[in-house]
Amino acid sequence: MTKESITRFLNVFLILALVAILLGAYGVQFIKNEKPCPLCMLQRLGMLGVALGAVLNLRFGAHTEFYAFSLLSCVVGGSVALRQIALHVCPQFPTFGEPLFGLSLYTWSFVIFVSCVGLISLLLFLYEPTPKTAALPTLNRLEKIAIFALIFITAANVVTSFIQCGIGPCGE
Amino acid sequence: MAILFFVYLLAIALALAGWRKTALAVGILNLVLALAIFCYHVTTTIDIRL
Repeated sequence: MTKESITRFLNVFLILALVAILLGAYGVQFIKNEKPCPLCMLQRLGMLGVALGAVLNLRFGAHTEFYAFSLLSCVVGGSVALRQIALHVCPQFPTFGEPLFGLSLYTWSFVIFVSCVGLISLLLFLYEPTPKTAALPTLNRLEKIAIFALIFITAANVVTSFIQCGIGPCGE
Repeated sequence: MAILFFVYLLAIALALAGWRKTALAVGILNLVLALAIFCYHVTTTIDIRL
């Protein structure tokens, strides 16, 4: 296995992991009937941002600006999660939503963003500059499945957030 | 909020179409908008009372 193949596999893993997490969020939304709050939606956006950076790496080859974009998405999403944790940390403020394995979903979200920072750091250790004259890499079947799964979950979020909040900002 | 999700969808479509810099720029713009919405939320909701 070359460094490039490991890098591409880890980018695919990142996309599929985030898609699975966002599908889990839909499970909570529709099965447990817990609608996402505005902060929850911002965290979903953060995860989609991280995945977009991975898509760009797969499509155009690894570039530091794509990793930087994913890291910035982790920072923004992690900040939102931290804000939501802080809003509910005092004893007189109830937690938002049912906990999952003892932790609230926004706490899990913060753990996920920190984990993404760790994975992206590993990817940067494996980074080798893509030559400017190199042809665009061709996507294998798994990479195409990951990207189309991401397209599906993003489109689903467009529809459900439109149904819940309309075109404007969501209410509290 | 639906608009922000749609813009990410657009960024993915631009990436698949081969528009590298435009896809990245659209993604960054969306991230900045999300950050602006978050800052608006922080300044308009209750503060943490210790």
